[in-house]
Amino acid sequence: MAREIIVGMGEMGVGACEGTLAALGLGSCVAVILYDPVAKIAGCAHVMLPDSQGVTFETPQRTVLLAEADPFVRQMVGEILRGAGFTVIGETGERHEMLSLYQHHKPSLSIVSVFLPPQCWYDAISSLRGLDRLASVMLLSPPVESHVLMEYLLLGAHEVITNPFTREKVIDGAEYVLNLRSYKFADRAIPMLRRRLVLHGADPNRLVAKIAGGAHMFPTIIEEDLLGIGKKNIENIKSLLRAANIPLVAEETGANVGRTVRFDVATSTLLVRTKDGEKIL
Amino acid sequence: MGDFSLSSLELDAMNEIGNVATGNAATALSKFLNKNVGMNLPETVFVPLGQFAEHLGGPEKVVSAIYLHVEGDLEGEVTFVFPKEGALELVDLAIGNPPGTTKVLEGMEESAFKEISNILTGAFLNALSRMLDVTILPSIPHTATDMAQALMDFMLAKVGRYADDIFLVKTKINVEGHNVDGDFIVVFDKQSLKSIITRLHTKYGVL
Repeated sequence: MAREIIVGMGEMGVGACEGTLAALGLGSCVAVILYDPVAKIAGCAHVMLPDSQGVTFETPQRTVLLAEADPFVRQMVGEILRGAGFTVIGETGERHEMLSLYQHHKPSLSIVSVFLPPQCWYDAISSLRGLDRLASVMLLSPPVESHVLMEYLLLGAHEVITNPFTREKVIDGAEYVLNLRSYKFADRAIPMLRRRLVLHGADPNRLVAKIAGGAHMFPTIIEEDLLGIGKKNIENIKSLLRAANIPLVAEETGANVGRTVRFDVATSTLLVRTKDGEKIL
Repeated sequence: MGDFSLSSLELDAMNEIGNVATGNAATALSKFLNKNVGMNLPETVFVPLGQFAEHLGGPEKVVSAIYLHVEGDLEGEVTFVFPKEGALELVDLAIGNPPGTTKVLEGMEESAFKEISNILTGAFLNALSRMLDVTILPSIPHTATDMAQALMDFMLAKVGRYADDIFLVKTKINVEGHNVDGDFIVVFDKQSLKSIITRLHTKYGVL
């Protein structure tokens, strides 16, 4: 079944095997698609701004709720987190207790096992979201087929990490989720997207890029008067890709036209639609 | 990036200001077209960047938009967004043509569309500057027709550089008996929003 992840402004999404990654109504924003054509793992960042220079990021709160039924895994992941400066505000092996801990402590991140009793992981996420619509959730899962992984992401997990839970996986995953709101900047989004793809099994040496967007929508305004956001987005994204050694294999950028893009993960084709027609890259 | 939120009293006050200002704009448009113009109570809300397009009927909906920048004591972005057909009918009304005459927004028709936006924005900003004792200077208006989010993402990028939530004042406008339903959207940057609140406190002292 064809699945689609819609990547909203300032967000990023990852897909594997099949389905599409979409970014709708791009003006000066740019969709950056990175993919490994062999492993069929792809990601899309919907970038709004070229760089985060001058923006101070508050260090996100590092409070974590850990919900995992297996005491060994719980202890191991807990120790990794504490060792990296996170505060584990609660540990539990059961969903109801997880909910009451969440309500009491309002952690900035919930790490939840896909096997959390009772019932399935999806109930755990949806009941968390029932308490807090914006709850950040990372799933712990056994190694799964990439389409199952995609299912997890589609149904609301921000990130999924699979067994064995190494320090690198736990910390990278947690950092990604805690900084979700900084990926509107190209210089924050591209390195993170690359790391996530590699974490999910892409070969960094096989990664290539396709980009679309970066338009100037009001042709009667001098582009620089609008800070030239579209043009600067494109320039900076290209130099970031060069710096990361990721070849740019196709682009549809600039001009005065809005675009919607859909990347087909199985075929690596990028469909670019404007109000006047379609084109495949 | 800092949390910044408004108390419910402050939100109410913003709502009331938006209400008076859009009312003023509706009256001005009504006089210009010699028709009854309706406006609903404005929504004044904080919207996460990623959800902004939901307020425009979806990111890909093709619309005609007027954009202008305001500066002076307050900085912000102002847009009018009409479904393409609605914009054409509005222009027909302004020129005095039977609805359906105008097919594209260019030349005289585009200029009429801009004039309408000058009238609406002028009335809106005048009311705002009277209520808050501020000087606000609008830029000349610009128009384009394309996907709604594509037309607006640059201004969200401008305002969203230092903020994750956009403060939005949105009002629906409709011309009685005609298929003209548009959104009037004003977005202030965080600094300006703070200064509006400060002025509310000093001038009215009721908050």
